[in-house]
Amino acid sequence: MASVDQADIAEYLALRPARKPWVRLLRTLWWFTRRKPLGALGGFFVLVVLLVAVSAQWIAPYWYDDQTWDEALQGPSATHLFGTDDLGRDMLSRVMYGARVSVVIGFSAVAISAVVATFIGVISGYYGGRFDTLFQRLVDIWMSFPPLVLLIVVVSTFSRGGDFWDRVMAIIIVMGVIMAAGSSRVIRGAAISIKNNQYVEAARCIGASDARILAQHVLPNVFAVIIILATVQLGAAILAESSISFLGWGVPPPFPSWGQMLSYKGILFMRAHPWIALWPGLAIALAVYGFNMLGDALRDVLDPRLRGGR
Amino acid sequence: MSRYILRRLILVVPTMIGVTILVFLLIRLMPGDLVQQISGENAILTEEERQEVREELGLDKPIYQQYFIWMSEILRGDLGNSLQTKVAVGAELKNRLPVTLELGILAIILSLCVSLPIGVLAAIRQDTILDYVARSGAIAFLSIPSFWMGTLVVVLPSKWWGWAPPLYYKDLWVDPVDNLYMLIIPAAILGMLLSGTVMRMTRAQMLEVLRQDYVRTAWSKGLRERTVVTRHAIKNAFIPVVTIVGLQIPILVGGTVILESIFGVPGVGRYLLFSIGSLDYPVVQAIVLIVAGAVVLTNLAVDLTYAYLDPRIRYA
Amino acid sequence: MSKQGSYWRRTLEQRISRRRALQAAALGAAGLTGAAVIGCGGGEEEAVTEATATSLPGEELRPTPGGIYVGTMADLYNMDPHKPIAFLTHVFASWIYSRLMRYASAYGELPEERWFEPVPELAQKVETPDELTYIFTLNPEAKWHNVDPTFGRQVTAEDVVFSYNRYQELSPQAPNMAMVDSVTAGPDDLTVTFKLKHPFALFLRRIASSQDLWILPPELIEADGDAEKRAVGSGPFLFGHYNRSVDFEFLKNPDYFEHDQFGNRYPYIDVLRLIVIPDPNAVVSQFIAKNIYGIACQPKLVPEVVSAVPDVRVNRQVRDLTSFIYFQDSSYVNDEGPFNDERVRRAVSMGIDRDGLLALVRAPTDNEGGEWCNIVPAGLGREWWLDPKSPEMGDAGKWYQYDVAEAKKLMDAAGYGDGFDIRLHYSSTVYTNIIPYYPVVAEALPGLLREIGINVTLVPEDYIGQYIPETYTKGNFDGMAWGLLSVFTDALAYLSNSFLPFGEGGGRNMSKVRDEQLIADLEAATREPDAEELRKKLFDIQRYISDMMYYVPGINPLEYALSHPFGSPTMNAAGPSGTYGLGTETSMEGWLNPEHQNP
Repeated sequence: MASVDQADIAEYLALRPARKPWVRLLRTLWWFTRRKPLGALGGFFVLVVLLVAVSAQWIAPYWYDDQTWDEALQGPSATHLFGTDDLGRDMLSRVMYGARVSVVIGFSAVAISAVVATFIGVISGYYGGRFDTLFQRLVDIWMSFPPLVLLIVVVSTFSRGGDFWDRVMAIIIVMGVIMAAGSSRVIRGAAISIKNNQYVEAARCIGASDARILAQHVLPNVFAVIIILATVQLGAAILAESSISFLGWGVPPPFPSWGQMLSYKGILFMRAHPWIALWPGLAIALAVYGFNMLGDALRDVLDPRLRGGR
Repeated sequence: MSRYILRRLILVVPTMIGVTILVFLLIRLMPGDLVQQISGENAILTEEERQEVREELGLDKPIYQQYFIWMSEILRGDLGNSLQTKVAVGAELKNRLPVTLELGILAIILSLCVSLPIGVLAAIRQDTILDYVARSGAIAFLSIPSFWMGTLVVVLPSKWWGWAPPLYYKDLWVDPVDNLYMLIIPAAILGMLLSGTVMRMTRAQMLEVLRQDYVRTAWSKGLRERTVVTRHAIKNAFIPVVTIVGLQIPILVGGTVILESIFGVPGVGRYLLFSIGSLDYPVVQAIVLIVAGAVVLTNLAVDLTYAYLDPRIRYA
Repeated sequence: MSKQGSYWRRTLEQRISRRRALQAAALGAAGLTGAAVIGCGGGEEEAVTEATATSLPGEELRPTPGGIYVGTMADLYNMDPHKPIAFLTHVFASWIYSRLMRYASAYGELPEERWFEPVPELAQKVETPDELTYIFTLNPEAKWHNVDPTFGRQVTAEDVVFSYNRYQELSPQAPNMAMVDSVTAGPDDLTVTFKLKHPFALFLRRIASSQDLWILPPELIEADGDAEKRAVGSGPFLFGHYNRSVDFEFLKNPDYFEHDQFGNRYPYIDVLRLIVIPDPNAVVSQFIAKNIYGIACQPKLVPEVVSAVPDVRVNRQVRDLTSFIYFQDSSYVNDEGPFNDERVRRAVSMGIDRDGLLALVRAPTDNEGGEWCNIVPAGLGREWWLDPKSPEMGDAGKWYQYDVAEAKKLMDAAGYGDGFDIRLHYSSTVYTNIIPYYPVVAEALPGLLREIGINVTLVPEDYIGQYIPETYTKGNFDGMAWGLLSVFTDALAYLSNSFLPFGEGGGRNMSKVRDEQLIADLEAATREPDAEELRKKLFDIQRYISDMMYYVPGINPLEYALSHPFGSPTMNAAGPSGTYGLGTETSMEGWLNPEHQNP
């Protein structure tokens, strides 16, 4: 029933002589892998996704819109490891470029969510009072809506223009704001417990200003929470983006997004040419899986007080 | 205690009002020329004709007036008429809500049946293979896109065995066997979605509870593992878990939207998608309102239950 | 692939050549493509055989009445055929209601020259004492359904007048009947006289159109206000029920006025059950499991189904659905470039590899994909559709040929040698499910046009939210758009709607083309009383518009309908592809074999 907490980490780190930072980093990683193998596996998937996203244009064998009609709808082969789609485009390359879309949208949305949620959560939790009541009511209202429905309605509004960046921005902002609602609750909880912490009381006694307390005590501690939330939310964001693209309101073609590849075309060909749907689906599953596992492990490591599942 | 309950109840009112305002504004945001939509894609209208239709729909009044008109109708129980079929939305929903509800309830039951025992086991055997498998399984469930899963289930059995799910929906009271046969698969997929979260929650709660002093006392008394777990730990662990399930409702709705289309279940989710697609805003309005309202009420129930069971919360 | 490929090809050819033709996926088609898809193979390269009449070698046609037919249908937006919001309403109407005339149908094969031939329905006889007068005599046996509020009374001329007036008042299709001056009943209950404003050679064809003059009972409208809550007509089926998103049920009308040659009343089938299945994979799965009897099938899925169901009947047909590219209206209204210059438009057309696209979208086992449409689609038949590949198209035909070098030269000559950037709008919802080649071509166009220097950015639009209300209906967009033209049943309608002034008969002239000579030619054609002369005029017009490329036509791919061999060899093999009159033109004459009568 041993679980890991910060004491363990501190102890571990203290026992080793201080070396160059990158060696320390490696050691921490190794220790992490041994302690939390599942998390490490998740982290590995995440790393693969990130690497592919960043380097897609260099490592992808074809351009994402390289149409060779003669080779349409072919199964996996030597020239096309993942097969081709109905326009003769290489599936492997499209999946790689799709990682880029998922990652960019996911990270941006999570970043927005983090900023908004931190703002609301910290102010709500730290100051309490009327801010708290007001914000919490707003969050309540916001959280009552089924997220997918909200996404559809708002995104279909903003993507009326149809510009690639319009749509992408719309998706990012809307997802970010929606996710912020739930996160703000957690951050608020963390802020409340930090507020009641003895360090903070002491600081207040000696006359530290609110801003200083926030900067020195609250935010750094909340940071861990944010990181954990972020990893889990990345998974949710990728899943949400794929749902939106699946329904037709996502990233416009020809830019490949995993959800869009899975949408009517992938589903349509599922019978006869299953690989069109197989690879994007797997990519989504693995990416989301990776982020979630990593987040889980990080949570265990960084702050065992936080329950799993929230 | 009763002050808390009273305060909590009162808070529902502004929340609901906020919900209605938000729903109203959201729907007004929806794109497309409603006037054109009503008249049909083939119609070329003159400006007077457009104005006529606008007046008919009440779109020419200022927005806050439209809101109040709508609110007064809602409070009277009139959810408006579908723009497409002209049938009252309420009547249509009356047919569909039970279907989605049944789907949701089935999903929750299936999910609980799977995730509760596994969560408990994973907690008891923490850090063993079982734990790892259970946890990765749970996360895997969360990660698989439901529409992908749904399509696989429709396609692969047909490809391999020529099997197809039941052709169309039969009411539970009319033909329970066929009804369940049709709903069980989408319910299982939905349940799979839920069970990831629930299982991890269960596990975490069990772990938390197992660390408590009173459990330690039970151990030290020499009680068998099974007694400790079932008699002392589970009860306390499950309460927050069950309430978490209640909070999953918005996600449930999102899941049903796509799955209902794939499996041909005539529920609210599919109706919602169809209505968004056809800009039938009274329907979208009504459905979003009902779902949001249900969530608010569920939250209320959850909070009250929590307060009842855990005195610490009341004074937070 | 070669051995496999040739096996499938042989099998398919066998089917068509043995005239095991083709079961209507009329009902399946109704659901997914909204078209009747039955009839001739359409392809001239395909192994063509002796036209058989009504029997198969070694088999006799023996209609066996009774049974429940199970098919698919999509959710309706509304039920009133005078107020249609989408074409599906007309499909629905064809089971319940009747028209004065309808289009020819037959078992076996309907020769191309009989496509869209008007034949009697409610009207038993037509007399034309002069060019402007059509006197219809109604069939005395025609009765309204024996339910409330009509209770089986006879269909009278007054009913026709009532329906015409209501149609004129409510229907957005009313311009299709703009040539009618007056409709009067008399001197007896069964005589209706249509007086025209000017001669109109295709009047009977318009009357028979399944998008226009449906005959409705006045009692229904008086009782209900509209035909939305109940559907009571004079058609072959009674309205059973419609559970939204679940199913439709139609019941045989025991008093229907049409008979077969043995004296049996149509329809043969007792119950028509149409299930609403939104997911295309589910549809295929259900079909393979033999739960539904006929479907329209995406070409790419055809080999799968054929291999899973060895005795399936396959029917392929080009539809009367024109796909085309249209340009921003500032090109014609403000004479703004780049598309105001016909060289650029021709270049765009020459940059499209139509045959390549057809090969891309066709079923893998087929060796041909379809036809090239001009604004008039191939599904109307060669009598009215001028094939761009034929010598009759003349010089204008060269603008359809795929020639990148030529296209670049044209771009150069027009001053766009460096190319330009442009946006291409299209609908990313609705069409994707029912017209599978539409989004594929949309995504293929940028690659094609890049070769001639045009840098295309795709702009997907929501069908209901943006594409229909703004882009398609009003021409309110910038750049280019890829679309599907509304379906009409005669060539004149296609051309009039596309080239008459927008708002004055040019309902589909969203780019607001204004060519005075063309308008004059169209008006002359409209008034032409002789069908043969009209045909020539319309061919001239098709040549002209092909030369000018005001709108750039796309492709007319083959569409597939599959069905189980559970009954009549053809659930009526009507010739015309795009009529929505499935109910009367198809399902009426189909039957199920005794062993398949109960699902």
